[in-house]
Amino acid sequence: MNRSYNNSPAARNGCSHNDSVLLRKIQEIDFSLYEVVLYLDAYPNCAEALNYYHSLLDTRAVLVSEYEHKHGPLTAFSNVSKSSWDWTKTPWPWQL
Amino acid sequence: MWIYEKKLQFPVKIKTPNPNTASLIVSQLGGPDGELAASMRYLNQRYSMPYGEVVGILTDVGTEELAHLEMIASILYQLTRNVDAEEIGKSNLAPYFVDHTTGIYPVAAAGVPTDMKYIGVKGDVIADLNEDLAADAAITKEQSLSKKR
Repeated sequence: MNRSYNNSPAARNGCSHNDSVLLRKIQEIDFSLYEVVLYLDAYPNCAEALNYYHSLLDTRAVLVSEYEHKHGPLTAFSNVSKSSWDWTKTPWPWQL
Repeated sequence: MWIYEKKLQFPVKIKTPNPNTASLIVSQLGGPDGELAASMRYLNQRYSMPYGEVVGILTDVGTEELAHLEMIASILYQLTRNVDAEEIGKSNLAPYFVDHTTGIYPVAAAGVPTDMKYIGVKGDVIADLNEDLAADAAITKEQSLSKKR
């Protein structure tokens, strides 16, 4: 597992490969988001839940943008770089 | 369709490998009440559901089960990472290792490969949701029993 990721955006920016603090924040937001999604599936007319959903989405967008600029794409549809295909260069989640 | 996100639902960072533990946890991947079976229950039951709310919940929960599947696979991967064959040979993972080495293959704890004969999809709201409750209750019961032992 000593594969080199020297071309990853993380390496280019001089950051560590694994920003576990920022990633953990996204995981926490997503935990809440998933719960409120399931709640809204069952109670689609709950305005309070829908407001909470949107506030989580706003926070998520900022965190994901920061993460993807520093550490590479979270999805194959969000490769930020126009000169480098980073999707397969950054470590996979089970390797962290 | 689905789009993969390159992150686990919850971090998995196992520092001490343990093939014996892997031989038990593998059932949560490929056992009759494991994550793969759960996902296939929900994602296949949803087509015949007459209520949008229920289709939504089955779609979203069935998707989340795939995230659980990935966490379990990551646990298995890390529990067997850099363990030499001799050590695995002495562990309960030996029979699995003969056929799959440390590849992640969905089987039940007793070695039976994943089989969708254990899931129920009947095209009936009550039958299908009861099936889901029963499978979930089986997991809860196993967890509470393992705590008592």
